[in-house]
Amino acid sequence: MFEVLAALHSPILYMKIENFTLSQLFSQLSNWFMFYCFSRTLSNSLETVLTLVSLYFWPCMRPSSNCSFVSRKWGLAVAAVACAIRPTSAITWLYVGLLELFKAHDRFKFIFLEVAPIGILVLGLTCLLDRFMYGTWILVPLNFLKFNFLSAGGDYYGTHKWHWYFTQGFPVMIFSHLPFCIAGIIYSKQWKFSGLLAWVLGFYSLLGHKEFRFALPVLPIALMFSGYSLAVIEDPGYAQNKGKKSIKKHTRFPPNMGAAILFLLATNIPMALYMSLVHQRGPEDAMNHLAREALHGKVKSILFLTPCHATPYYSMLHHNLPMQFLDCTPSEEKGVPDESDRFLMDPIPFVSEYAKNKSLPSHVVLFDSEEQKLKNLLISLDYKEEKRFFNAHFKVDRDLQGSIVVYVRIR
Amino acid sequence: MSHSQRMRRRHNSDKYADKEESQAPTSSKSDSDHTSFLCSQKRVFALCLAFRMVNSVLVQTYFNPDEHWQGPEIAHRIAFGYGHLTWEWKQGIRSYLHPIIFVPLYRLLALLHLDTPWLMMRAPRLLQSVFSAVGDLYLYKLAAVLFGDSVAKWTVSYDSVYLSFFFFFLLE
Repeated sequence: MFEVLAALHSPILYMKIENFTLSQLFSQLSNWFMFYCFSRTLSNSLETVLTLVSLYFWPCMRPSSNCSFVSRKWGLAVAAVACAIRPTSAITWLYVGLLELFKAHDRFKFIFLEVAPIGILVLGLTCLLDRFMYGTWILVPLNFLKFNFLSAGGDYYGTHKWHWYFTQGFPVMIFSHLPFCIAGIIYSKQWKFSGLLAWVLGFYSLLGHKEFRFALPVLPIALMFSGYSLAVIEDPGYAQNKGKKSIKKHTRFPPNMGAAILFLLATNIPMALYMSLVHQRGPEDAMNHLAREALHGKVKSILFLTPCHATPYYSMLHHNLPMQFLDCTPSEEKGVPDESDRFLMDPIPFVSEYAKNKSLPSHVVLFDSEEQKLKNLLISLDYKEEKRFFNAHFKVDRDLQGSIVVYVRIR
Repeated sequence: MSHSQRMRRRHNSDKYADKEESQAPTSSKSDSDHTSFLCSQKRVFALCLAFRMVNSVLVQTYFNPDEHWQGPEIAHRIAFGYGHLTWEWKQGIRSYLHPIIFVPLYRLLALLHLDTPWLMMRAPRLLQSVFSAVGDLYLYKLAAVLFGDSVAKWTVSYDSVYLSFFFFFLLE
């Protein structure tokens, strides 16, 4: 593997020397949150890809002189797929669609010959897929909207103050690119894009349940503004010449440019690597260990005494063994603690009860925060610690989960 | 195509380009700009792809349950017949459109007997990294449209700074 990396290394360095001009992409690739989140298998990541592809095709999002090669139909089709994957993507396309409607001369054609047929086609195909997979006709976007908007079902997972995206969420994501992003928004005067950013964050602010990943689709847009600022620092003539390079050639790298790049890399690289390689790595290590043990036939059944969905599951274990985790389905009644909550509130009676009523699994997975309380009980039930994996240095929502432990039954 | 044929064709195309330049210098210039932009797009995509693939292998932590439970877990159930369906799937508030993407990947891994613990863990993220690279490319193209391609054209350099940092880090 190192040879491959080394081989890649030399041409890259060569290119680095060859052309030292700034890019929009630098911002995108250097941002810690994009690094941390973009290659994860979240639907938000794919939604982000589709958002970027679709935005490229919309005539209304371009400077007016630059509309050749653009296909609004492609923009619509990709946007429709984005909505099919995550219905909340409609927030973005409502903005873009209304802007297009406002700017377009062929409004009738746009609505009846483009939006309607493409929308119906994509919705129809998705419904057909879901009919096939669910085995019954089911309108997913409608159920999704009902759950998230009308009954505020997402609030079950916690709520934040209305300004969370502006004061905490988005600043954490964009991190040290923030000053460059703000300057880029002001100086580039691409108000349609900064408007989209504000609209999406503003709309999400209305919903009680807020998460970092929900804002992922607009993060690249903010990073594009940061890239613009860097381009202006690199070549101050760039802003006046509207995208044409100024005549004066830079033979050397301007020092303030170097400082900016260094500042961004010095802040983002450690953050990206720490979050991607260190913070909360326990669950994946534990599952990988169990998958290897299962491959050798050493695992009979597994019980997860962790908060619900705290580790990957069959997709990583890849063996059809009985497994159980603590349930946390949102209940109809408000304020009734679920299984996962009851366990966390008082682990010892919960596990004693479990041991009385059910057959004991060959393996138990739990975090050290609960393990400290359950250790003696587990030993009395003939378990011993098999392997311990580092998990985190600091706490996030609950108590510190410093490590994750796998216990094995010796009898 | 033999080497000589390729040479001849290239020669012809050069001649053609020369001729066109003498007749209509502006259009030919924009053509060559267009070609070089396409070339640089290929380079940008190749670099983004390399970057995101290395990126995906370096993502080894747990961020959000949905990255496993709403995607690969469902795909695993479709591909191999077992996997947990969370309550969202019982209430029908999720579409199969996203998880279905990982089904062919899992089937292919099983077919090639490559469904080892390591690949089962890494493959879904590697697949997403390919999509992510497409997203990066389109952001680059969008930036080129908005801010002029003289900035975007030279794009490759700075991700390479970042890439080389990583490779440096790994090689150390």
